[in-house]
Amino acid sequence: MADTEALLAAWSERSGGESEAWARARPGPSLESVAARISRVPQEFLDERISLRALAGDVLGGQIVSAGFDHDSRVRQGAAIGLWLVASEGLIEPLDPALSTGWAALAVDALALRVAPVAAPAQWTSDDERRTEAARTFLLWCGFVPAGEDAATAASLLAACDSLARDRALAEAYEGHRHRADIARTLEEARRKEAAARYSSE
Amino acid sequence: MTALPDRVPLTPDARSAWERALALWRVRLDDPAVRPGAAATHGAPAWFSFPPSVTVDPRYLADRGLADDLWSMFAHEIGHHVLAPSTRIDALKIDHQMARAITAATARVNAGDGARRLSNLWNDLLVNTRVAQLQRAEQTGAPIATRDLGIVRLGLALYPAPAGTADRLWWVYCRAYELLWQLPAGTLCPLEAPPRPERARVQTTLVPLGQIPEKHREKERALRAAQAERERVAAELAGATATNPAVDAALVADAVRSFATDPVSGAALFGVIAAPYLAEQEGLAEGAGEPVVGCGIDDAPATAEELGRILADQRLRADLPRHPGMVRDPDGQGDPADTTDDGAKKDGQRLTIARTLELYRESGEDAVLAAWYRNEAAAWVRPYTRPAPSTPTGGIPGPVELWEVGDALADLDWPLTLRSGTVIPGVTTRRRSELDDEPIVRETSLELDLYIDSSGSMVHPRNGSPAVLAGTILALSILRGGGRIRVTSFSGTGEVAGMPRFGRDPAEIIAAISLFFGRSTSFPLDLYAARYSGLPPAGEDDQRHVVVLSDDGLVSMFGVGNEPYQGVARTVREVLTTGTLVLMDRRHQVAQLAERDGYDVVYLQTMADAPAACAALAEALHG
Repeated sequence: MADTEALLAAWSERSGGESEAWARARPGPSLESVAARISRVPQEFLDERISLRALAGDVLGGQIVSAGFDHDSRVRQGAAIGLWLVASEGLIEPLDPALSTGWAALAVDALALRVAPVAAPAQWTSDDERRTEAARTFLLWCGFVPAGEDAATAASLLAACDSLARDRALAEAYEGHRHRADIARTLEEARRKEAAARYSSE
Repeated sequence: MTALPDRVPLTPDARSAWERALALWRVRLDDPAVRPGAAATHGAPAWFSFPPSVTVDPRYLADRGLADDLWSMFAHEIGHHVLAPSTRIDALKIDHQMARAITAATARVNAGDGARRLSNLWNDLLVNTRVAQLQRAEQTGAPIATRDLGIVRLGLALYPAPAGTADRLWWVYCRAYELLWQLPAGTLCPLEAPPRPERARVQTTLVPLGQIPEKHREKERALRAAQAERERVAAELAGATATNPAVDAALVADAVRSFATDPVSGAALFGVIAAPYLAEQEGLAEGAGEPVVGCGIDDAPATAEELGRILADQRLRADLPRHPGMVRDPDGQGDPADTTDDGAKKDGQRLTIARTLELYRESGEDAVLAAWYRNEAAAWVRPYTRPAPSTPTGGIPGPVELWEVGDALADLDWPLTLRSGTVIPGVTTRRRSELDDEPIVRETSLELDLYIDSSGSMVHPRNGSPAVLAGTILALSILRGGGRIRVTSFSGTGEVAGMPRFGRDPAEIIAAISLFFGRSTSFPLDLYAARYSGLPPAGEDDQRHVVVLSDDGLVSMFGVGNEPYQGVARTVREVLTTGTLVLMDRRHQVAQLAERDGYDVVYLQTMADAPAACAALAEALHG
């Protein structure tokens, strides 16, 4: 399994900055329609035996950066779900506006390298919030803001469900709690010592 | 409370708003009370109460340009009746959960008031989240922007705290709404949470070391060093934050999503997250900058029956969940809580009697004590019975006997009689005799005469009395077995109370058991003699059992200090089937006297001993 930091580094090299992505984003399909597609991903796309390169070649007609990390199952599954979103437009019906009019390859890499390392793709189908995170990320890097939202709102809502930021905040909170528990133990010890130091003035 | 403005009939607009709100939840309710101007007297523009009713002040909304959102206000209040808390008993249970969480976080905050505030926040979070979902689903056609949903517009108008407020819990609450309703950060509350309140350092003045006698000076110096170290660590602990508003808001939002339909269970989790905020606010002015939200106004204290149901709910007895911020690794490695003392953790999580009494002080001490002991006893109650007197049953055919004139004609065994050829009554007539079968063993109920010492030397029921707990287990077990019981509580001379005759009413019995005089100890030998004098010795059919719960002061039962009645205990014992003393008597001072007069003794020290003592009694009573 590849190192999470290495995947995120590969992504920051590939992405070219989030503010630029928000600047170029235009109104796109609704969040619900993308999220619903994610939860309908067919088993065939997630099959370990499928070559990610071949799948990307078939769906996009080109290559994706994440194909270089396809030994990592998280990357593989994340990319496969992204490719499914693009492929589903031909298999089910195109979204409005069509995802293929955006930066589809970049969006697939975003799912594979940015979201999958911090939130396992298996959760995208089971956990509502993780699915929203995946859908929002995909739309952003594809060049869209969800229908009915402006860029500022969409940016704030994506930040609110970002697993990476959330994990960091939780780790910080955890450190806070652990630190507190340590001090509480020290305090117990200090109380014991104080009680032992008490003396009778008789 | 000042009188509320008069109720006015529903206007057509208000009626259609009400119908729309009912349709949203798909329920029917009685018409709401519309009281224009009630917000000024009551403090909130709308509220709900039990039995289900809703009151709204439409003028408050109209003044703020929210007249169109009256239906969302209705939907919110209806939600309290449908979802959270939904019933009065659930409302009380949610309060109870919050009180447990607050008690675990801090010992100093008044759990009752804080619990009510947290319950209101928790219920509103659940209801508003669901109303937003229902309103979104109600929209047909073009999708509507979140901030145009009725309940969100209401929230945007009513929830933002005044600028410069220091209420961090309110910030967490508003931020949780932003996350749940999918609003951009900064809509309901500032981007950054208010800073933590500063704690005032307590400065202690010490006697100069020179004034301490020479011989103690060295010890005093060591003590002061230890004290200074303890104060330093305590200050450090106060400075180490247990609250992290941004993270806690996300955790609250998670809790709301997870427990969307189980307010009582989720309340514990919400309480664990929110209680540290109340703890860090303690010492500040009450309700500093706290916007009014409470729309639950049911202030009637819990009744005895409700207390019983609250204390018996397993969800309220389970351990509190860990703070979700402390659970990082799923495999639990490096958990700080694992190293905390298990005993200490448990003690903080169950409400003690004292805390329960404080929380429900308006329900009356007797009712709370009765419910508490009944609930503690519940796990140990099992039917206490004794073997029934054996009743012989016939049915086995015995030898052939002569049928004589005068015997019942039906007993005549014709086939046997006719075998001899002629029928001569009393000579050739035969009948078949019947033998008794083995008697069937059956259990029957017991009748117990219970005396309980409520003198000052006994532990007050308020502080956890082993005697009261044992008495409760015993009484409920006898009742479970179908029996009857008579309870007499005694203390000094003339201080005797309880039941005049045997009964089966648990409320009356437990009230008598938990009665407490708190005076001197003098066993009521006159009453004891009067009850049992002149009775024939107990037999198989009519058994008499006496149990006395007391301590070493029970020597008075054997006439010590009450010489005219010396010998009563022995005389009475002669007509009893069993006489057992349950004693909290470390030095076994009564043992000799009890043995002399034929009483059995069971010893009891702590609350934990009570079930074992009762098991011993059950054996003795069974015989």
